[in-house]
Amino acid sequence: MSDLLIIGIILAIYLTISIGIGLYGRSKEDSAEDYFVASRKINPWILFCTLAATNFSAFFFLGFAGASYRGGWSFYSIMAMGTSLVGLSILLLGIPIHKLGKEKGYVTPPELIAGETNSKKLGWLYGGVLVVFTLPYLATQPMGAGILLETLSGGEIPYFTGALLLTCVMIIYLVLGGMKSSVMTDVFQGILMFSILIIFVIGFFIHEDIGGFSEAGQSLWDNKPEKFIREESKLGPNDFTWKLLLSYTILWPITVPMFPQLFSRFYIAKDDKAIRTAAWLYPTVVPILFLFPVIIGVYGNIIDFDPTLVDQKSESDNILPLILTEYAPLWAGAIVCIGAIAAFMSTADSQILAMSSIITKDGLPAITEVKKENEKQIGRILIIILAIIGLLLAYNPPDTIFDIVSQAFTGLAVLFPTTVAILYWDRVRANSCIVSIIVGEILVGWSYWSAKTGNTIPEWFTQGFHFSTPVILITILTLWISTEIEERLSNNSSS
Amino acid sequence: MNDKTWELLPFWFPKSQNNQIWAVIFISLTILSIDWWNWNSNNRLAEWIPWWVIYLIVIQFALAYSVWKFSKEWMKDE
Repeated sequence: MSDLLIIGIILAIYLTISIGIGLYGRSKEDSAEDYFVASRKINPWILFCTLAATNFSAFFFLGFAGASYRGGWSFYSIMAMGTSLVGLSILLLGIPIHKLGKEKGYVTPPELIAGETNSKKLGWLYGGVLVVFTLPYLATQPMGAGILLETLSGGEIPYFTGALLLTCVMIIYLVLGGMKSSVMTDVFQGILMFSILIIFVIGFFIHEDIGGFSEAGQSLWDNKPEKFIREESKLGPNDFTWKLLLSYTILWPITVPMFPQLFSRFYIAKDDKAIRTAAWLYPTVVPILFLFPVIIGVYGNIIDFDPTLVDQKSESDNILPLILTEYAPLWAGAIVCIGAIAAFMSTADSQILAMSSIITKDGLPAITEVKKENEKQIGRILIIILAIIGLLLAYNPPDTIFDIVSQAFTGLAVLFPTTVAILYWDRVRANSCIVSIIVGEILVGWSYWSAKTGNTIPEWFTQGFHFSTPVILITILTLWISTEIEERLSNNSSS
Repeated sequence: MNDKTWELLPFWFPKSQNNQIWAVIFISLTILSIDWWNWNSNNRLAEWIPWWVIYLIVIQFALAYSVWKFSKEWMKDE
């Protein structure tokens, strides 16, 4: 049997099961609310599974392994604690968002923002930022699928063909089923990806060429001891410092709930107990689950690969499929790839559905009349359009998955102060939120422009922290100060 | 403090004393996770995993336990 045929059969079985579950899970009701938020009936454990599967993406599977290959165990500290803190964000933001959604019928994040401040302008700005910064993150999912299938098949499945195939399958079950299908496939894909990842790591260490955990550890220590140690100067100036570590630890819990695909999931919970359960389960599983892709990347260093892996940052995202082709029989490699593809699809389908609902419910009504009975149909057409846009962005990716995601994350983090203020601060005003978001996004644009032109952000601005830290602080201060000014101006004019 | 004073506090400031204690707990765990005193350590467990990774895992489980306790009381009466 040819290699391509083996990969094709295993892939076809997985994709057929995914479509089958998507179709089985689809709603029998015909309302837009059911299509976009699953009638708000998702129970605690299913909610946790869908939150985790939605958040753990191509970045988790390939980006983590690639970054750990380059930076060693240090990368675990960059990701783990910050992601565990997401559990706290789920609790603090998820409960009021869920309650408001149920009480006032909100389906999308901008609906809540606009509704609670009586400002459509703020809702449009908020929705625009969500869509603009989710698109590059969406593109990393077909990128991951393309990289994986191309490497595993030795180039027989070209990068773009793999990306296209996965996108088509996702469109089928999303168009037919909406949120319920997305949640059901998330549960299947989440369980599949974690089971396969754990089995793969154990299988790698007991392989006769590796010789077990201790032998692998000794071999790595003898050849590349720096992979075990966090040294401030290891990767070059400012590449790994306590300031950078603190920056990422703060960035993840601020950004992750701002992903539209995560935010929307707060609406689908059956009750607030579901959110409370998901909140503590999240930091319970993250510490262990995050070990696996990091282990793959770190211990990829004991294998003699092409040296271009080290020189070319984007190439090191290939480390997981390269280990597979080196150490696993083809059928086993194909199964591990299925686990990774499950991670890509469970994130991408949720991103597409969330953006489709935002454009249907918030964007289009701003320019034309959208009848209630047409919302579901429009949402379906937008799913196809957004999936194609994601695919086009993935066609010629310029950066590593980690670099793309970091940029998108900062853009979304700018929305966090506004969201917290609207949920918890009675004095909040729409104009102050608009000013805060615009100031934050101008700074993100400055960072993007600097990166593109080869300039670095000046030290006086970052003070050694990641760029996102001063940006978040400035957006908080802007929101706070502009509220004070706006309040005093309106008090003066009324007196 | 009366209602008027609370209104003037920044929006991110926890209002009740109980929530202030929780804020201290979560901020402390975050600071402890930076473990600056342990940088440059090369101690390993069973040769293959650094001890500082085990420490970080323990901190995260402490965080999970804290979130579990906190989740039982946060916005319960609203």
